[in-house]
Amino acid sequence: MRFAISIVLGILALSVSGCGGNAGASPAQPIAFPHKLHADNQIDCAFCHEFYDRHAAAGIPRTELCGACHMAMPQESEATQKLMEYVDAEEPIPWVRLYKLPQFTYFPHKWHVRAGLSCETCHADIGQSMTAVRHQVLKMKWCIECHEQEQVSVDCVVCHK
Amino acid sequence: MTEWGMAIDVDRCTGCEACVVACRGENNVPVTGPVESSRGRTIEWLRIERYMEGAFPDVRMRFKPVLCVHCDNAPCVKVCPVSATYETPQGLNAQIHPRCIGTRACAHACPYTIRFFNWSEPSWESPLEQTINPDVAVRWKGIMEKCTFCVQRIRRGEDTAKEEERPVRDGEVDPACAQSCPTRAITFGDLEDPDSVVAQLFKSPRAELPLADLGTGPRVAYLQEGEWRGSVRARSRD
Amino acid sequence: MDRREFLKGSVFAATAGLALDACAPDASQLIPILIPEEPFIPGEEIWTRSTCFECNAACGIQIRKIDGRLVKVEGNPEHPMSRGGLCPRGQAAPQAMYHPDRIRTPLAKQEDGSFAELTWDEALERIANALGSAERMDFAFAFLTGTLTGHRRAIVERFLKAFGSSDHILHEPFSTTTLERASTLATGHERLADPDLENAGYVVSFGAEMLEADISPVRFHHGLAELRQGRPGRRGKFVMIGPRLSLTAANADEWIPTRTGEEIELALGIAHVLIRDGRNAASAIGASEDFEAFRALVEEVEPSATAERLAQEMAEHGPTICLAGGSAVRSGAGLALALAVSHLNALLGKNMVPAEAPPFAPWPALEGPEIEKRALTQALGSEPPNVLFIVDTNPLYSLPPAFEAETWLSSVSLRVSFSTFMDETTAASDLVLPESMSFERFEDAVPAGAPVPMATLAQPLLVRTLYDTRSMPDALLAIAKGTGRADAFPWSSYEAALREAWAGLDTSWSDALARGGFWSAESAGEPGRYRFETAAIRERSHATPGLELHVYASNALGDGRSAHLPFLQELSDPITGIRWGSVAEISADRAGDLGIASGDLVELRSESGAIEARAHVTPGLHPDMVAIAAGQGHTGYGRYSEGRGVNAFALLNPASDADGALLAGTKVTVRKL
Repeated sequence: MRFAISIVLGILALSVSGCGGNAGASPAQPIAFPHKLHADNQIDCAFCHEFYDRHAAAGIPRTELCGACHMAMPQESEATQKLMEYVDAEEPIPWVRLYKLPQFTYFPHKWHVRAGLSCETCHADIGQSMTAVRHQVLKMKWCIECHEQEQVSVDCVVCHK
Repeated sequence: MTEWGMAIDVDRCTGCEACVVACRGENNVPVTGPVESSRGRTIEWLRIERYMEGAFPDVRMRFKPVLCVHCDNAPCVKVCPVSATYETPQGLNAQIHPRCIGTRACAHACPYTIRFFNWSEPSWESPLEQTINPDVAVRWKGIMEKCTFCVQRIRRGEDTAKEEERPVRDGEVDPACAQSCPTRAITFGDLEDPDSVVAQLFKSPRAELPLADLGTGPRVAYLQEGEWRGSVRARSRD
Repeated sequence: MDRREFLKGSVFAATAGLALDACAPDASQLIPILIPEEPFIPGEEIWTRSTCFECNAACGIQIRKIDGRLVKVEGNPEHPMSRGGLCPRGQAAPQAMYHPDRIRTPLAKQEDGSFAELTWDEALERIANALGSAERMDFAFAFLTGTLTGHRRAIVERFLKAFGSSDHILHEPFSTTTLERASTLATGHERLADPDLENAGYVVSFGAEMLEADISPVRFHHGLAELRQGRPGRRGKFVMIGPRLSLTAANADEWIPTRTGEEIELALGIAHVLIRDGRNAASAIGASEDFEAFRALVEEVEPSATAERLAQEMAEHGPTICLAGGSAVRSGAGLALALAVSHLNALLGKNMVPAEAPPFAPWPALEGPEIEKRALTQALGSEPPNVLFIVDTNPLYSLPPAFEAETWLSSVSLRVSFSTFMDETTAASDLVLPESMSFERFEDAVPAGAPVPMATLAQPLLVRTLYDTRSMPDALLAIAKGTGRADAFPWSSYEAALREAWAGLDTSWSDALARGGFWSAESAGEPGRYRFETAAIRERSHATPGLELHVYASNALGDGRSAHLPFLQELSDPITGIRWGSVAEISADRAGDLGIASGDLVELRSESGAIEARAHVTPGLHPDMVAIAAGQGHTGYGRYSEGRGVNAFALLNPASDADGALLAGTKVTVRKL
């Protein structure tokens, strides 16, 4: 019985702190960033996540880029004021990762985009949300299922490093 | 399919250990420190073995870089109870760190003694962690680690080739050890490609596969000729 | 708890541990906080060319920057000397950049001996006040440096001139000064020539441990490999003459053990045979007075059987190249050996002509005294200066304490150290100006023994320096400005000064930065008349019997300046296998007589000091020698080097020649403890 309990506890521990974190979780961010307001203003995902189909990481905008637009925009809101503090100080904004892959994995964003995966597959309707919510828990099983379905390599070192 | 292999020219190698440090830097190989090191727990994916022969004044010394030979028929793979180590389709013997439970069976099975156990939690005293290569996992206490033939560099080479819609060129991908070598003793490439330099070197009469009689099928060959016999070689080779 | 329960528990512990560790180290931050923001694409690597400053060889490097961090150094494949290769010390350089014990702000020595932080402005003001009295007759100002090349040397000497001083004091334990002195005497060129090992048939080293230290280890590694395996059907031979089976000797086809100081007798014996048998190129040299004097000198030397054989092999298997170096040229017969070896090359028809110096555009002329260089060991005999600037040298570690440099230094009123790390000499300074790491500053270098006219460049790789540091030349410019001597330094920055000088080279600045330097295709200049200088050979000192200490440059730690890097401490010595420490190498014969086995604790004692170390008994050492690697035994220099092993320099007797402290000739006794 105790054996069973410890195994269960072990697996529980693993899933709770699993690397993707909980689905539906929304970590506190340094600035309350609304994806929706940006998307509604016809800003393409690629404008800020400029490397999404060209590099291993999709990229987040540098503070200067945020500043470049917001300089010419109303700055009343608390979030914008906070942003401008970072812009003035020329400091990076310490955004908290939504999709945190374990450090022993390799995930090239570009090849997934180029393979024709839609953004929604992983990111759901983030463009329509006011707070960024983690849509998908990044579990190996989930990756493998898709890789198998799409007949992409499931060789361990393709993703593990 | 590519099958990666390596040829090491022992006549060129001087034992300078540039490759050892290059490997450390590239692969986040932890520094174990003076205490652990004195207990024989140093981790060196690639080490220089030295052999001293003879008595004064006729002493000879030879050096041999020893790393995972990425066996075709690897003893480590057979003994791992959790399949944390396996042979990839490209001929690498890979270690999947999160799978490893640290039985150290693979280290016992390996005739080349190139598998290493993390006896302590690796640490980088701040800000030395800034030197960590993000392309390579940082391992943790209680698991095994070993040479990967710099799989992350292979991956980068393949990525570039894929972007340019062409195959990987011979000589384009080099593990850190081969890149750093001041004497160009290490050649890396595709053994399946008969025109690659490494495939040619494997056919050299100077080539020898280490402990090949064990049936491990090494993908690392050593090239060696022997003594100086006057300025012209007894036989012209390669 | 029985065994089964214990195992159950460990299953849990292992799984939970995995869960906790799975994401470590914590990567929840999107941007590493330490790094000032600068444009980078996450996960994409940027390679930038630069120059390695871990030793004086000035190898070409390229540095890998990823996510705004400098993570790896590789060789620059275009560099004519290092050709894409790099040694362990160069590979470990990122650890110096991100070393936890770097000096982060200017520091001033307090009355209680501790250091207090101060601002650059405060530090520069203190220096300006001290230098303000430079006009006074009783005021003396000097620089104490290691080997400097390129404009790092030029700006130091210009600064001396601007402040009315000619005093450039040098301390470099394994310096090439003696080789340069010999070259000047024989060929008129101070610059050293490239030995062109790739095209040689036979190479003889007289004490030159060229794979570990000396001119350019990476260049010699490559040359040796090509000598062996570079030409199908032809394999050259390499012979090493010296006291120890060093890394260089271990890679030789033949090692001829000698006591240090005896190499010269072999060289002269070989010269005797070559001239006697008419196997020399002297006919091309012409019968000159100096050649006749040399002939007369070598005729007095009775050639040994080894000399006879080597002379024959040299003549038959050429082209032959002879090299001198290591502690052999830092012995009492050092200059004699360097000259004799040079003469051997001349006899064998190998004209060692150096490449031209790179044609830099000269800086504006400056009035001032002519710079006089002297070794620190000479300066110690004279009155210490009032103000001393210390750059790239650490005499309180690497000068034998028997010279009492500490006493001399302590009577300098203001000691200013420009240093990236708190080494022993910096710790004894009054003012510490933290210098940026070579990856954070502009610098150039002119490598010794270059095959073509060339210079290499280093450039800053991050937008900002990690800490409140400046490059030494930039600090000098600021000091000059603060003391009203800005007229002597008409540049806004050292970068501007470098750009002005580099305008004389056939390259644009941006091309030079992209390539990592400048090198032209043309090779060596015209040979001048060769002079068989014999005075120093005649006056050479002779080896005396007794057990002697052999201090050699460590493969990984050099003369000790790389001892602060954990990668290099953890690296096993290629010969002894020691990590994180020192061993005393004792020959198997001698150890047998003394009843010493490997691992025994032994005491080595000389007139000047005593050290304790574990014995390493080896057949690869002359029985009359005891060997210890330089590099360990630091009393400071950061957490990884402090207190590790023993300092071999501490045993040396205070003997010196014009080029500094001698590394050979100290008699020692060995006792098992």
